[in-house]
Amino acid sequence: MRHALTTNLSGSAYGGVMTVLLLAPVVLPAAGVAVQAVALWFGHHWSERAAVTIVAIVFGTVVLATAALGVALLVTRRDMIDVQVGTWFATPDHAWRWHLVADRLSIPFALSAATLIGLIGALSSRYLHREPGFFRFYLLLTLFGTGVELVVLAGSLAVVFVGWELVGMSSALLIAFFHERPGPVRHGLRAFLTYRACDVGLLAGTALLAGTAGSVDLVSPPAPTTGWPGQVGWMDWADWAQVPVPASAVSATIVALLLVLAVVGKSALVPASGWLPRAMEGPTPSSAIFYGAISVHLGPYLLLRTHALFDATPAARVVVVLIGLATALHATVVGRVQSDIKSALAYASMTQVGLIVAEIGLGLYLLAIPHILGHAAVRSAQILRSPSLLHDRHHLEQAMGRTLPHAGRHLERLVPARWQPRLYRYALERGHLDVWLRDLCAPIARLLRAIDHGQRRAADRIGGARSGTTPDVAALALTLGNPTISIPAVRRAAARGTAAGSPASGSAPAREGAGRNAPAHDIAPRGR
Amino acid sequence: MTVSLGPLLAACLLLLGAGDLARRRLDARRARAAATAWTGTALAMIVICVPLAGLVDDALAGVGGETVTTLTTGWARWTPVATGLAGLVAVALAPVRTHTPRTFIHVLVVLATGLAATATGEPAVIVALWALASAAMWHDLRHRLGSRGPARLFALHQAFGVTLAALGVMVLAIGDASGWAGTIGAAAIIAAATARLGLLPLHLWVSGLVESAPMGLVVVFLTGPTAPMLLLADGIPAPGTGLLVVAAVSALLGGLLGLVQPDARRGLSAVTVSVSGIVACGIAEASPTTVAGAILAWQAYAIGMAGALMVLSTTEARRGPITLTGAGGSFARTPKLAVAFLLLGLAVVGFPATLGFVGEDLLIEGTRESSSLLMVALAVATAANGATVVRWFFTGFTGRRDHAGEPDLTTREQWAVTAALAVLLVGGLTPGRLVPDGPNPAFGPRSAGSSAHTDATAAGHAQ
Repeated sequence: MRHALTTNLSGSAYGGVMTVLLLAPVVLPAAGVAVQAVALWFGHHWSERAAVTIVAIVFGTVVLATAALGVALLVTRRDMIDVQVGTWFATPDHAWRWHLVADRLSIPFALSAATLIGLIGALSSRYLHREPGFFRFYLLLTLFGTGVELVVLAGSLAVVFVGWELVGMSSALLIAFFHERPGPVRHGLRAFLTYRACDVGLLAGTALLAGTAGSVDLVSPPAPTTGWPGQVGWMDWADWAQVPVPASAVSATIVALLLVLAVVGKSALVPASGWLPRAMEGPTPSSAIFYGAISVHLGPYLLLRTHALFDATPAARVVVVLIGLATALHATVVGRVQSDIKSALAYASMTQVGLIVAEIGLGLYLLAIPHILGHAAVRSAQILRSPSLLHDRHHLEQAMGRTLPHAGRHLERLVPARWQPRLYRYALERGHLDVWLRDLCAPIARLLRAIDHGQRRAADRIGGARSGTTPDVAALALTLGNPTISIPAVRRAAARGTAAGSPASGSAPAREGAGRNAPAHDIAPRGR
Repeated sequence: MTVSLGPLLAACLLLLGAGDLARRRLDARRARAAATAWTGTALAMIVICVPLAGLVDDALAGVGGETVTTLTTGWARWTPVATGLAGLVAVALAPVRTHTPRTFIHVLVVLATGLAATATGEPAVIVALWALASAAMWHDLRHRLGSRGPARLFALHQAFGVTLAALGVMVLAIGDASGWAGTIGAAAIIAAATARLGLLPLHLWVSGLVESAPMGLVVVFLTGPTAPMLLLADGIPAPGTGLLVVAAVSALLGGLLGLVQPDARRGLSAVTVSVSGIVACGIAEASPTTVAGAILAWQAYAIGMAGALMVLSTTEARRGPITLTGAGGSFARTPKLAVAFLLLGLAVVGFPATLGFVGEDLLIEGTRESSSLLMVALAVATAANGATVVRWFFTGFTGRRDHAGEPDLTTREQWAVTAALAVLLVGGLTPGRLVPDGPNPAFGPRSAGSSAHTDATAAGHAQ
């Protein structure tokens, strides 16, 4: 094994310090989530300043801890610090262990993520001042930070999965932050459905890897042929902790492709990219941190962390390159016709992520890391400034003394004139990807609805109901044992003699607790 | 026959409570308060037994009471706590709009049968308790809905299940478990468990029940551990491939059907079928990891689904049905109802940092060892169930600004939900002692004549 420190809570003094430093980025945000969640649940109203302070303290400490770990790695010339935190749960033939790793891949990511989250937390205190969901935003931001630090510092794919899911949930809830409008809610749901469908890849891939390679724990890279650092080839810098690779090429390819599926969902690669521009409905600070900086880059991070798997599976690498390039091309074309700045930035972000994925597929790991970190910083700054776009533009034009020139003309000249209308149509339709996905899912949904309908008919027949009497949910009868309960809507329907008002003697399932149908004059405006 | 005193006394307490409610003829609100008090006391009795178990068992053994224990040991150790907590949630959140005093009596009776089933490993007793619970349910449904429709559907399925279970137990008792009698008996028990769990093709009663019966009653029946206790009971052979196939198809199809349901009740009933299938997969696999995962997933399901269904029922009683075509809800008006629904639902579907995740992980890890295809099916089912829960969270609790003046969780409701969430979240963070560590030694090993899985179980446990 190379220069690795493997330690745990009961290790030496130095090992104990390293353990605490490595635990801090995960435990502190989790504690922050717990404190905020309990306070919100029990209705404790504290000041905005208190919420901001909690986030600042948590992520400030995380920045210091990860920086200290980075310094320790450099000073001691170790490749990694491997902390076996302990067993979470176990049965006689399976154990789930908490396992964290600090190495030259995880530390830059953990440090930059904590820094950006802390900065976004500070900025949001003004941006979201007196917003009704202020405390909810900070809770979800802290939950996101917990998930990200878990993914980045994970010492096994099992730990990655836990963080991965936390990131997905916080992302969906923040997209739907403005929950009083149906748009953000619909888009939050769409993002979550995409995540959930693609996360099957990570879950199944992790389980298959455990079966075929014997473990999902990251292992130290093989020893270099020369010393470290300064005396090694530049490619040795990419020898960070890796997942074990199955002996069978077929198994390795299947696991790699399943991981690619997870990456496609999380990083909005084609064909599952439609949720990203819609995700910009969330608050601008969360858009910046999720879709400009951190969340979309977790996919490339996973690819970097598991590149040994892809090195052993050329077919999977080809798939990665093709998906990356397709995403970059698609996003750069579609992004050029977007009429609002946040959508344009979303597609710009998608373009860069596609390029990063292609770089990783081509084996350019060391190029991908600065590309990710640089893109994260620049894009989050752009998204944060996006609400002031017109203001900034006016300032710039006043300073220049003329209007800003139209950019990107050189790219337009590259495309033959007869292709331009088609490309324009393609871009306006966002590559027809939504239609394509809908067409793909529609037959499955129709089949499922047919099965469901068949089940209802069977239930009606067995239950002795007249065929097709299962009530429409909008017209429900309420048959209660309590004769004192009277539902106006049901009474009216009964007076009209409709099926909805008739008792359930027709054996159609009478709705329990249909409740008030909330007539319009009963609806009170918020705060009444 | 070994008997666990804690769950048994708790069940007796609930029957006393049912008698008390029948005698006092209270109105619905007071009946709910009294039922909550009885259920809370029963739960407290079980919880108190946990730290006292070792001490009391030693004392009982000293006076020759080897067949009596304080709490169930082995697989079902925490099942009484989960069942009792599910019952508390069911009673505390029951809307009086839909729950009459008679309903609360039936809820206590059905809950008592569920707790009593965890007190013994004797299959005949479990089947008798199942029959009693079904009769109580049928009585309420018939009074409320008439004899046709969901009530008849329920009665047919349960009568079929109870009859088959009784037949299976009798055949196994009188015949040679390794011969044809064992095969017939095992097949009958598997078919009976399929009906009780609501697995395909005997699942039609579940959605009708969830749509039309009082939710408190539905919850205590659905979360009653009858089927898992029966499948793991003394002398019952390991289910084997038959149940595995049925369970896997139920898990997958239930999960996918949940995505296309037009209202929240049907959506959650599909999740119920799917999770029951996932749990049954674990029991059918019969390895130490899968059975531990199945029991843990069942316990998380019992608490989480009880909470999610009751929150749904409470919300619907306050502002009408939650449907795809509905206007949604005001999150700002009912944030605690919304958050409770989300967290409890996520615990059911095995979201990380909840108790359900531990069960799902063990199940997926355990099934992977026998079949990668089965593991992928369970992963897809889990993902679909999660999507269904979040879909109904967004559809039912967000999306509108105005409201009908509906209140958020009341103090009583909030404490019940807090207890459920605390168990699911704290248990999810520190699940060490909650993971079942093997079959109940008091109930004896699984009978001879079972499949090779049984040997694997024993071998795995011996390690």
